[in-house]
Amino acid sequence: MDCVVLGASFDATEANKAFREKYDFPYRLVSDVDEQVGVAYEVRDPGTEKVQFAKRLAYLIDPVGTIARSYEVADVLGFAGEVLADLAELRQP
Amino acid sequence: MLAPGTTAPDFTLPDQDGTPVRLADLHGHWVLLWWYPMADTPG
Repeated sequence: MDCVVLGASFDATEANKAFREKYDFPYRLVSDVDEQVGVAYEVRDPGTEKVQFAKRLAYLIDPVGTIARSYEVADVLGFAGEVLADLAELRQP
Repeated sequence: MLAPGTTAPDFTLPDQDGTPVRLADLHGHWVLLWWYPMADTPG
């Protein structure tokens, strides 16, 4: 399925690199240490203090840059299946 | 949580190797942007 998966968190790049290598993730992990992209995506509340932990949300973004689906991720394995089903549905002509 | 139909906010963030990833450069592809609380925690 032609879908670019990007993991995102407030971790430093070094922590993401170690995390990725430990579990042999095939996708890229981006680092939002300033937490400002996190504010834009509503994975943290705006405020002066850093929170360190992003909320477990995910967004499926379509090829023109519009959010097609938003997810609160509770069950990671179930979530993967849900995304694949949504992609199959959304990509139907 | 941003609602479907919202324009995804553009960003440029470094990947695990420090290489910048810009969302706008991924136009033409479906993108799953998956936020997780902290590296090396379950989920």
